[in-house]
Amino acid sequence: MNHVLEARDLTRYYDVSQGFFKGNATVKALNGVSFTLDAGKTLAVVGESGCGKSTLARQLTLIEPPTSGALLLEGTDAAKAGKSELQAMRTKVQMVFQNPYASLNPRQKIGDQLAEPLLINTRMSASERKDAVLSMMQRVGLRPEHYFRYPHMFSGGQRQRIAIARAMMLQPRIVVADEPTSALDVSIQAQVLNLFMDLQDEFNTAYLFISHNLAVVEHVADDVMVMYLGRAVEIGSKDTIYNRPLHPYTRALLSATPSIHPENRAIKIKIEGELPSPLNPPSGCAFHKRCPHAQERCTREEPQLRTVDAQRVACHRAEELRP
Amino acid sequence: MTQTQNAAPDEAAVVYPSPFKEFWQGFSHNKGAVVGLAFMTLILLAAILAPWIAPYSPIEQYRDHMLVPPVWSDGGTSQFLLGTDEAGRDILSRLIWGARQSLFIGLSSVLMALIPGVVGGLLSAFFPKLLGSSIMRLMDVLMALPSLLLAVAIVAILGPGLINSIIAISVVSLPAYVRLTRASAMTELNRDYVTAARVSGAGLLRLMFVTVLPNCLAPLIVHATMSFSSAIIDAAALGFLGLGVQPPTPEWGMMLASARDYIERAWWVVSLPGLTILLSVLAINLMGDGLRDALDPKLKRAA
Repeated sequence: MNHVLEARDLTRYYDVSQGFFKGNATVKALNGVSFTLDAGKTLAVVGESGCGKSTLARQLTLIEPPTSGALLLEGTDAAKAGKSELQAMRTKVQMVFQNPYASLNPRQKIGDQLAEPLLINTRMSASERKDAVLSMMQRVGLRPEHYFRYPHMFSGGQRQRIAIARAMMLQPRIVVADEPTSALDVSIQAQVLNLFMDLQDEFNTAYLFISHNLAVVEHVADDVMVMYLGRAVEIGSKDTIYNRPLHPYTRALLSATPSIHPENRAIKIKIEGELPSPLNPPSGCAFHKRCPHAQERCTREEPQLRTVDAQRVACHRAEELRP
Repeated sequence: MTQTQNAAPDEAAVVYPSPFKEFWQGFSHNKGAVVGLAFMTLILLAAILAPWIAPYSPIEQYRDHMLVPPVWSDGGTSQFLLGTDEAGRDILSRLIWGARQSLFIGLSSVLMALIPGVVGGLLSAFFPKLLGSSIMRLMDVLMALPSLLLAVAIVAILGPGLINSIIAISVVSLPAYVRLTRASAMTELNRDYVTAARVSGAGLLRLMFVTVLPNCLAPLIVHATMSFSSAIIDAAALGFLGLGVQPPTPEWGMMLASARDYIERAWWVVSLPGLTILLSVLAINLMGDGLRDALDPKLKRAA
């Protein structure tokens, strides 16, 4: 099968200085993540703050090389690509950011910002670029007179639509969306999400959708990857993950979704404590200190992702704990 | 009538607004800036047209008319509108001719510090590790030395003269530009729009000068207009030490410096050049304010 994107054991470590006399410490922000992404599909990445979601996003946009592991974009390995090849690969992955107020250049007109990717990467003439920009603006629901406006003249939702338009200008194969709706009003969120999905239908783009809003994920995702401390703990289709989560962490996450119906509220799995420091991750299963089902084995042995039922889980006790 | 109005938004969308017109709209909104611009245009015209509008030669000494007060005070004559100095030279003519030197010194030393300073600052922000820290340490060395002393040392090495003193002044004021640019560029570099530009394939030069630099301009413009005046004063100090513009060449700072001895007897000899410097500096600062506002889209009214 041909995947648009394949990540194999992707890791990214950062060296952090701990002061003058101590040596540098290594933060394992991303510690061996593998997944595949198909054209026209959406993979949602969920997990609490600090679990490596945004680091993953940075790796995928190729602006930062991974420490180890391979990233295959339409079959080409990014690590082995030459400079010009890499430049061409970069245009295939675009990004939409969390904060629409920081992701647009305040000193550039909207039209110029949208035309910039075309100016850099294509040989279109000025009028062709303008036509392309205007049609994309219309596509995301902006009026032609917005072409000459500056970002500060727009609302958050409009800005996010501009950011989406910019990401779509080159008709990329993959769009990495790093919590694209979390800075928006709830009323605008749906509008932006629907725009995402319409564009996906139109351009057959694959999305890597990072979010910690599980309701949003349920709305947009085809597949879901749950991350914990730089590792994927559970990957599966949306329906399996939402209906039959196997990993204790996934269950805890899902049970944390607030519900308005009292009958759904009853079972709430509480996880104690905080995310361990990635500077000094716990031995064995990274989750064992907070896991209600942890055994002695979990403190020793690091569980690998393996196929259990319809999904892949990294938990020693996945079978026993199956509901 | 209503029909044309309805058609207007689409028409407007097709025509790219002329950048100059847009700039002028923002600039003329600031009344002080327009006044400053008018004054500077006047000075500039005076400098260009000096041979035709100056009543006398700036270096000719009228020995019979030493320290004649300006026309409006007691003892003034209409022969010398702004009076004469200690050597009997007409102050008005010297001011008009001096505008050439002073504007040249101010502008060129600002530009010669601004351009390398901005490039150095951007480089040190984009490559913070090796190149950046070496540039910054070099700037620290320049800042550690007293500025006038450093300028004197540079002129001593290069030899006295107008151009060399301009070079000395720009080297002395370089660290401020580098630091300002680096500081604001580093904050901008972490913003998402820079990442977005990277992701869409922008090269280093485009990132530096199209994406980041326009967002760092505000403090740079203010500092550049401020240092215009200090350049004139520094040039005067160098001239006073015999290292800059050599007398009898008319230059505002020189006129100010050489007239100190007469401050009690003949106020006009020192006040008039001082006033001219003050007014030009004020005008330039006002212009700088307007320039900053005109270049900042957030301060423009919604179209």
